[in-house]
Amino acid sequence: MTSTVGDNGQTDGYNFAYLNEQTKRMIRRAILKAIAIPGYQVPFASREMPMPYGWGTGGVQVTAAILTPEDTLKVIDQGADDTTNAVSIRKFFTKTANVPTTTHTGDASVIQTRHRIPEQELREDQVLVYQVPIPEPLRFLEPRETETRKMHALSEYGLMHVKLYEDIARHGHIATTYAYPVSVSDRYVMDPSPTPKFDNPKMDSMPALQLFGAGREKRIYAVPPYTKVKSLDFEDHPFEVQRWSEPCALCGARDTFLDEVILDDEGGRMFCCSDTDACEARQQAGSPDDLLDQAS
Amino acid sequence: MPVASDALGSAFQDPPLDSSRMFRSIMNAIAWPGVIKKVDTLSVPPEPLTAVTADCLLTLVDFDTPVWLDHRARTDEVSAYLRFHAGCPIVDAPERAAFAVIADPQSMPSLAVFAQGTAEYPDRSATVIVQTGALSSDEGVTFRGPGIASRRVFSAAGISETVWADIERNHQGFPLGVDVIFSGPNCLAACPRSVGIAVSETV
Amino acid sequence: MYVAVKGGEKAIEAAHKLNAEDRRGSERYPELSLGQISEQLTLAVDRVMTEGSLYDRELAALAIKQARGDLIEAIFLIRASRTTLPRFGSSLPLETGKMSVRRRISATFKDLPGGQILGPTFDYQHRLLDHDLAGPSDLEPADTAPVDVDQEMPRVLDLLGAQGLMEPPSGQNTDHGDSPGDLTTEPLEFPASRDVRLQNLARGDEGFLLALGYSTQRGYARNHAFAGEIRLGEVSVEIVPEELGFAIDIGEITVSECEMVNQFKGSKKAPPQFTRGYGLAFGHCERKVMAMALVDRALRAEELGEDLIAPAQDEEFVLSHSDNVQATGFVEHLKLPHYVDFQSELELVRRMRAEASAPSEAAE
Repeated sequence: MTSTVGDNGQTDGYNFAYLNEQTKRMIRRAILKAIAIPGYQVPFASREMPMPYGWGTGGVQVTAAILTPEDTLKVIDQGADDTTNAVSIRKFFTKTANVPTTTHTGDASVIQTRHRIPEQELREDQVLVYQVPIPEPLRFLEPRETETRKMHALSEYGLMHVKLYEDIARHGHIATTYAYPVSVSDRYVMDPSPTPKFDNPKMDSMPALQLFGAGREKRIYAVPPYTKVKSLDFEDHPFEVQRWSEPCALCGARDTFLDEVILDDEGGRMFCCSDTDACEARQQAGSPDDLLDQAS
Repeated sequence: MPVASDALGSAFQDPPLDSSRMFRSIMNAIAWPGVIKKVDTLSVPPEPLTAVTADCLLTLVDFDTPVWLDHRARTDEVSAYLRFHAGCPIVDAPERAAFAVIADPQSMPSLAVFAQGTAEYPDRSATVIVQTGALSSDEGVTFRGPGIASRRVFSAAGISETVWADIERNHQGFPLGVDVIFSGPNCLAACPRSVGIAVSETV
Repeated sequence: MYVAVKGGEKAIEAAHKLNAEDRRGSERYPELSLGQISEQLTLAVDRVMTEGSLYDRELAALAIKQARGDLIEAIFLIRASRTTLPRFGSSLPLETGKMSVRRRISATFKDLPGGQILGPTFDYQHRLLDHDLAGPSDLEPADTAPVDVDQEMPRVLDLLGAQGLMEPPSGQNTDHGDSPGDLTTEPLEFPASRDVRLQNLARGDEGFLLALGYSTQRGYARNHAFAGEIRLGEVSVEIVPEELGFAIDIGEITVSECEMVNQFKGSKKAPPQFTRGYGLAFGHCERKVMAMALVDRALRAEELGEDLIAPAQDEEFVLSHSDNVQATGFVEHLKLPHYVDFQSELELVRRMRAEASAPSEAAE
């Protein structure tokens, strides 16, 4: 007996969370190994999903494999709940798993994300699922899987340090601004997905479990809760995050990642929070000035 | 309480939903080493398999995953139950198993006999399910590693110091090694290979 | 206020409706039936079945209709549907030697046991637009074959093999025991065994393989290929159910097969002999199987001790980029918003420009 959610007219003929049980077991086994070997990319037989490769199929498969009927799902793309692809993925799970969804970070038990980590600190009872396009942090230095696999096996990460150091020699600082490589639990170098490096510090010792799914590249990896995640850097050039000279124009936040919005063709622009939920919460909580006062 | 419907015992009533909940418990156990997860078991397996162990296996194994049973678990009834409900091959050679079941932890083989993975594919390693007595966070060995903020105390009745020493030896081989799930009475906990064990440490 | 990618839900719904309208086109014309597609756009259906990895003419026809004739989109629909299907096991190897042949040609021998059968082909047609097809067309019945197509037709490469001139079939580098590997259930790993490699090529994009095969002919890993044999026809599919223990016939499928004969100068280990490249596809996909056979042979370079000098010989390159569903997804994902990543780059470029201009201003 299989449970389709068809009884209430939500899903017609598809298994709970779309994937068949055999596929879910395969993905679940990969997830367990990924958690047991933090930062190591576990190969898995990624399936063709009803959305295109490169549009979150890895994250969708991981979410489908971990979701229970008791979960509340939040999906964000570039920090926002209302971007078209986030809407599309959220609808997919509403339809195939009939789970409640939310835009509030605090109300979600599973958060699927593309390119951002929510500004609000995550809790122990939450899981963050990242969509990953290219899981291999060494890929742009060495295109061959056979080679990069050996480099991970031997912890041979010299190439990555050389690349970062070349940046420093040429530009005076490291010129990687997103998908900035991290070392997980002092063993595997890992790609955090194309999140801005602004988000890297949030990954370190995060109370929530972090799972990463790369569908097209067929890899799953994980960072368990309270695990050391260190952005690669050098003693004389420590890792640092982006800063903006002005606050969010909508909520006044000075400690969030800001998107630039072009207002006209004469160079007019404003900045506002990329995390729409955090921004709205601040706006509702009070005027920007109040918040700034509280913060200081 | 579910009742066995026939000689082959019973498995999940609604596999997609039942296994989703069970998987979440197992996943959280691996992600939070030493944290004890309560389990509302659903299956009725033949002895000596416990319902928690059977629920784990029904959630994770199928014809792609060879299962090894220790001398106590390897009865005709258990083999028939797993073949029928999970479709998994039962293997004699421990190194071929993706999952192993230890029903008698007193005479448990070294974890080194199971697949350890390779330097390039450390994930190709076994998961060992050990049936134990009561699990406790009040006293016992100390876990340290990913998934643990500082340290966590854990004990499982029936797991000797020798076995803990073997589990620590398993950890020393990280990233190779097996991952251990402790299957207790209506509860489970785990010790993935990433976790270091201190036996003598006093809390 | 900024709304470009917000209000997503309504926009998506409207986009679906607009797409449906464009699919239907003007209602002055009757709607396409699946039968029309599967009977009259046969080669499109064949390609979708082959690259979609699912032998079902009706579903392929539906996918083509739904995809508005975009075959890669149709292949994607078939693949996504295939994901939800349970898997029962593998068939026995197809006996293409026992094929009910509709077309069979060899470019290496003028005549051979079983004869040459031209069958349905564009090959010797002048490519002149036939304006009679603009309206309903009349069919003249084709003459029946002058040869007895029911007789045994040994495969050309087996005939060469019997004389010791052809290497034995190299299925031996299979890591998977009795059943062939399946990259839809196990992720691809390098180096890949030949069974998995062939599966990858069979699912691979026809255009990609065509270009790679062509490159070998133009000198990028030239391997002097001859079309040893190309055949098209129906073969039986047999499986051995666990509970029976013997083979049963579950039906017939149409396949195209190409065996290329390639020169091989010999190595320290092997004397000079001919080597082979293999191509197989569902339905009638002749260009596909020929290109596939050329690329298969090129990918055997390492096994045969040849120098690795060209893209078609590079297993990681070929197998990682052959899948058009993966490729189109990732290329087209550039349509998704990337403003967070872009913002990071923008900030960096501004900073670097400021730093670059600062010293020169100071010097002035």
